[in-house]
Amino acid sequence: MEWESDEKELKATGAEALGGGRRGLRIGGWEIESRNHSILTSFVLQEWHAVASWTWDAQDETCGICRMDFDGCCPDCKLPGDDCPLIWGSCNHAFHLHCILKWVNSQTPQAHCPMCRREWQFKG
Amino acid sequence: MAATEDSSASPMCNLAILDSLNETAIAEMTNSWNAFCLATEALLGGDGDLSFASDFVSNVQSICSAGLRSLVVEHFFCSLEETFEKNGSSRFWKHFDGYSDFAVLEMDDPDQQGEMQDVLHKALEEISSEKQYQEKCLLMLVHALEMCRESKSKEQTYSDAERNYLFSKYHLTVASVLMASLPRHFPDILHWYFKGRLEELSEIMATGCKDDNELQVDDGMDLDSKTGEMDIDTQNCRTILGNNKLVRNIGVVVRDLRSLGFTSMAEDAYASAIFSLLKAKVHEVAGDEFRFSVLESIKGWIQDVPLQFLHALLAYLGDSKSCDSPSSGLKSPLASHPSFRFNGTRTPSEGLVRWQLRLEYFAYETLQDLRIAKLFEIIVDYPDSSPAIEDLKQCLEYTGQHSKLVDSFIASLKYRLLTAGASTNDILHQYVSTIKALRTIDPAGVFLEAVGEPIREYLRGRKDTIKCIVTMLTDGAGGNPSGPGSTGDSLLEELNRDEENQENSNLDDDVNTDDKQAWINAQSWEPDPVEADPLKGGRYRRKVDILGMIVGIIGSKDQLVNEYRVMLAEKLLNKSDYDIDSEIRTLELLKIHFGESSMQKCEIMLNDLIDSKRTNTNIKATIKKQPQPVADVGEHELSLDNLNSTIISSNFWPPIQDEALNIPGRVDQLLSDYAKRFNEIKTPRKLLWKKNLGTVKLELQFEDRTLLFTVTPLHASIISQFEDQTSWTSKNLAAAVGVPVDVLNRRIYFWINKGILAESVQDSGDHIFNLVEALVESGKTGVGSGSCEELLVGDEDGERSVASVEDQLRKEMTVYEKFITGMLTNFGSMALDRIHNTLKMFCIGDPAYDKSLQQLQSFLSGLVAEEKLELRDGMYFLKK
Repeated sequence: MEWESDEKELKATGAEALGGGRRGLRIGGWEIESRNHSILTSFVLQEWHAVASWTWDAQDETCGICRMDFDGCCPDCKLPGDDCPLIWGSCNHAFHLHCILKWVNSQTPQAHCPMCRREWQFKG
Repeated sequence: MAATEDSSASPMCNLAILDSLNETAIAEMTNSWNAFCLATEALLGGDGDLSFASDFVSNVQSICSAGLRSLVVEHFFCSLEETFEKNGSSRFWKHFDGYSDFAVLEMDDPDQQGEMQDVLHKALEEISSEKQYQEKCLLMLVHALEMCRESKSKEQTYSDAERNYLFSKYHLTVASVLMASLPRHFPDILHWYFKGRLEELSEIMATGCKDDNELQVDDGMDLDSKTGEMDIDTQNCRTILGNNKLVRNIGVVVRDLRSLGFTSMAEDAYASAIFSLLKAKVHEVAGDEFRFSVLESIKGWIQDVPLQFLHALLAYLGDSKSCDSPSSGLKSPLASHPSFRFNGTRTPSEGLVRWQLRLEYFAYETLQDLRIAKLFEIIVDYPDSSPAIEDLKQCLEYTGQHSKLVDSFIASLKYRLLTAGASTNDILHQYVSTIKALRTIDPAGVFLEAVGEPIREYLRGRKDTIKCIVTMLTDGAGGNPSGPGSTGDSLLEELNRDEENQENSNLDDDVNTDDKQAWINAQSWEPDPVEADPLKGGRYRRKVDILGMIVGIIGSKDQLVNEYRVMLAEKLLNKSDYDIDSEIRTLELLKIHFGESSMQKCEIMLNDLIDSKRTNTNIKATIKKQPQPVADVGEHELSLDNLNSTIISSNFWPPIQDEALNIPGRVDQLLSDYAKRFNEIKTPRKLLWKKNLGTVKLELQFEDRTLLFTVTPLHASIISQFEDQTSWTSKNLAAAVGVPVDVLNRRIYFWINKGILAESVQDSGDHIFNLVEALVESGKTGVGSGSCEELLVGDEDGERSVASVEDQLRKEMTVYEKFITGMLTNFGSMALDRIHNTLKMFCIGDPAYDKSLQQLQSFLSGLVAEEKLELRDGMYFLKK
């Protein structure tokens, strides 16, 4: 920023300082001006890593058979989610797949929904 | 003549005999008695002139024949003693008068030492020659007595015994005369004398090994002739001391002192000199150096210097010959060593072995004391200092002073470690090092238990203990990168490595049948050390287990696992790349130690991350199939391609801090689009966004530079508001971002610190934030390079994504607050464990009381801090 003091040197190299309060120099027809204004021109979101939790879109919170959360898993499973899915009956009651299967298999010849006692049909 | 014959037959003077003597006999006897007295005086006073000898002998004979033999002996001894007192002892002590204020003399002065040495030599020489002369006189008397006996009877054996009796009586007299007039400083003089000589010797030994050959040639020739008994040693080049003039001089001094009856004093003097030299040697060798084992070199030095010296000395004094028979039962611990080298093939004399044992014990004890005093530093340096620990172990095996170690170490722990100034990490590291170090010394862990207790007790009182333990266990840097023991490996890895090594070494045992194993166990049984606390159970339970001892600080592993879960959640939620290899590794290790079931939730958390990655890819795949028609927003805009997500099974994660937040509308749209796609893939599951969590990478482009930041969504939201409007009041900005003003004010400091925003205060009290137009202090924030990547999450108070364990606990415990106040209203005051038990008894419903005593205590202390309760003498009261 010491253009003024170096004017002699500048002239020796064939350049001259810009006038009128501007900082910079003119050399070979080009003007080089220093700007200390750096204005935010744009704002780019490169990547957004979000966090979400999943939940079963069921009306109830807990499985009517094992009383565990739907968002958890049935007593026999270790991992929730895909490994321990929910299943809906035609009566629109939801259970852990493993729970209702156990129930259905124990009921012969015809299984009923444990909640509403209607005949159990898997919702297709 | 019959009477005299009678008297000689019964040496006990019978007074009745006197009556039977006639005048002439009496006169004759008196004459010869007087003559005898004179002769004795002349003989003893004379300067070795034995011209009176024949006179003396005839007088003795005549008196003896008169039956007055005992009188002769008695008189002779009396005058002997008198003369010795006059000529010998008083002159002898006079030599040392100059050293009476010995204690103040500067003994470091070599001139003075030499002078004293000369004085001692001269004095001893003088008194010895005096004594020799007197012994000669005594011999003469004995001869005379014998001659007069031989003329009558032939009892040779009797006279031999009498001769010994007379000489020992003389020695006793000499010793008692000297002792009676012993100046107080004489033992000191001896001590200093021996010390000076030994130091000289030790110096010679230090250099001697190099040029002992020349020494042997120089000294060996002229000495062999003089000290014949020492030629056994000349073959051995190590025993240069045997031929050394110095040792011979010392030998002369010791021999003279012995003959004067100073046996024990001389021994004390050179023993104390040897010990002080040994002590100095141990201190010099051991000092503050813990990285090398010093025990062997000290033992070697004992062999080289003091034992060589003693050997030479004992050999010179002839002791070694008399005790030549191999020592029975008394075996040196080093006896089996091949390097046992006193004198080639000969077994060392018993006296020497005794000396060796004494010296070694002393060395062990000195080194042990030295090491125990520095144990704290040694353990700080562990494992670099393990040689010192090994040394200490060996020392303690000999000395058995383990309790000294425990006491002194506990004291230094309390003084240096368990203070408010020490960080919990440092304490924990020292604790672990202590366990490792003491495990070497004491595999049964008895002393460890005693030493560890104060540390555990102290750590229990610190709030961040659990956190630090978990960090130390799982984090490579140990949370204390500059601290000792952080080798870039977590403690857990280390434990596992140890265990694997052990398993490998035990591989052979697998083939053993149970019976055989049991037999081996039975054979290797050792009783507990005496210091073992019988209340603490048997040795089988007491196997040292570092992890167990660390968990023991907290009380239960559940708390530890819980803390780990919170830390893991925090870590996972801030990940943007699904890279969890190290976490999986850690979890596997934790499973080994804590059991699979207690790590179940953590496993699900990691599984969520793996699932998220898969789901994320699947969702991205759906985009590619049907290209977005609305993708005309410009290449710089965020699209679904740049949106990733971590999808968690919230039931298994620690409670997550949910904060409302308005994120930029564009992103909001993308999120719901993403959720929709998720719902399509995973029907009937749906996503619930936690908009305040996650990480955002954003680029701020200025006219002359581009800055890259990795921030939280809130920070991104804040800065994105400035895209359209360069100036906001804090109130408006808070409303736009959707957070309370105080939260905004706290968080916006990030951007202010980065020099992107500037804050100004208006008259109305509102804060105004402006986009900084000139990026002034760019150097300060380190963004000069044009790109800046900084992860700013979870480092400020209250900026964690997961509720801390304490917060969770407080929330869970508030249920019981009513019970507790009710109880205290009824009972007035209760102790902690009573509250605990009562809660356990009555709160069995929903929710059942399942907290530990420590958890209850911390909750109650919270209530005390809130001034709801009062704690006095361990009893809780309701605050009135």
